[in-house]
Amino acid sequence: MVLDTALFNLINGSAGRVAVVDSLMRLLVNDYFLPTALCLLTAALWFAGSSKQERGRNQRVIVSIIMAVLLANVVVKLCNLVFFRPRPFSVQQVNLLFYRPSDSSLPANSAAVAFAFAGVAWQRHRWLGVVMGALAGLFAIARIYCGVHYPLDLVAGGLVGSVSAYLVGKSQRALEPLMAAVIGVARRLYLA
Amino acid sequence: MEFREQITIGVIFLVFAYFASLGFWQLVATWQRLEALLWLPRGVKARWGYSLGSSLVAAASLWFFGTRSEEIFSPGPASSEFLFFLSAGLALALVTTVIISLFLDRVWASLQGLTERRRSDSELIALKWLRGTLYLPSSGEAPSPVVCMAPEPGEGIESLEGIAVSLTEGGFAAFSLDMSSQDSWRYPDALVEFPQAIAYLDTRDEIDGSRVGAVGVGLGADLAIRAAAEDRQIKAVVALAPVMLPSHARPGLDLLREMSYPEAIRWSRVHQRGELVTRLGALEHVSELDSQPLLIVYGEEDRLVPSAGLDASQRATKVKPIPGQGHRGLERDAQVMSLITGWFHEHI
Repeated sequence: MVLDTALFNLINGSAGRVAVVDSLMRLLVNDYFLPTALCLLTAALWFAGSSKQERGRNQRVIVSIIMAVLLANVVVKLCNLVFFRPRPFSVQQVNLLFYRPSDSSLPANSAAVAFAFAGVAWQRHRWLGVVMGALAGLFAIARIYCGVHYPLDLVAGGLVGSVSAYLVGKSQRALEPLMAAVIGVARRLYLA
Repeated sequence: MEFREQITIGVIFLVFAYFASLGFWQLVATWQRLEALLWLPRGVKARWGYSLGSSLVAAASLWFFGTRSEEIFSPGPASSEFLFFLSAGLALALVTTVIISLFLDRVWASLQGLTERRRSDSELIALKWLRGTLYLPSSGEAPSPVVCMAPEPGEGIESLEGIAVSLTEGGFAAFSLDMSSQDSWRYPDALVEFPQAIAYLDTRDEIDGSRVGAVGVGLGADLAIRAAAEDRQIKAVVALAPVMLPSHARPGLDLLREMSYPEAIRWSRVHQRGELVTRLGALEHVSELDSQPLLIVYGEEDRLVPSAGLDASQRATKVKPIPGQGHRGLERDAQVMSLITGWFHEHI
């Protein structure tokens, strides 16, 4: 915890010094910019592929991402029921560049969701996993920089997301009927 | 109050998601060449499509992230609500994209039509058992050899006018079957279309009934192959993008590469298209055409009916891929028209 707080102080202590960096971090930290980017990247993957079979594989990745994100959200909610860690701005002086969320700081829901995206993508497309992982990493750093999470919150959130992605990846056979149904409906609408 | 504020933020985000998604769909349409979603006319370089899409995304982002910081930095929608608003934005933008694309498609087509419309002397044939258009050559030998043509289901007879004009210029008569009604494509009723047309053409003095060719487009090509296999009066066949395999009858997203959304719905609604392909059995009947030369023409960019599975294994069959062409539009391609005329000059 001491190391966690020290690392938080180091990163958050840099906030408010360089206006351009602050602006960039405020762009990255908000609830819309990176989540929208991750969702649109995922939506684009739906259409990728030179054949119907390749496209079908990519579309299964997207259904897996949705499942992993749902699982990660459920795990975070369950953790919040049994454990509450106050936000940094509630217990110490911070450079706050964001609004004051009221839910538990640990595990970080934002990191859980972002790493669930990246984790599933990594299992199927290394390059996309790297891109999404980098975006998730930026999201995490921005959250510390702006004073809304301790580093450990994000590590825990990242773990929740990655494990969710792994579990969904291991359950492909069980999820196949659902995936086939989703893709079947989309194909009827000429969208798959 | 807090709930109302959250809804307000959600709606503002929905507006952003909608306009950003309009750009997203243009990027995807350009990347995957989805004609049904593209706003720019066919043939325009991809970079313009990418520029249009990126500009829309950038403009929406500048507006939202540049001017709505008060809303952005207030507690907003949770992750599930965020996904709801984003999905709604994507879906609304998709519907808008399809409608705008449809409208612009007509604008581009009418502009093209003004310059590409070709004149032809034709006679409308409307009998109880046969409908179509007969094109007679203005000069050349009489009686003339004739080519009987079946369009793609759902396409009007005007879709084959270019080929008809090209054939008449080559000294052939051409008869375009009117199969625009869905009922024309019921099995086994569809099988009588070619024989009835040939029987009618036999009665015309201007036509040499011993020199008959057949052309078909898409499912019409399957029908032409089947007709030729069963009627030796047909001396040669040209099949433009025949469907051949039932699996090709369910292309899904690939339809949007070739046609607009309403056209895709119409295309799929032909009575049990997959079953019709099976029953016509064009692929099996190709082997029965030994004495009737068959030219199969495919667009190299055709994603509906990939030609990879087909080869010219039959002695009298020739397969000709056309670079830069998709599934549709082959019948309007000047190179294809001249191939067809040349094929019939050689074989009938």
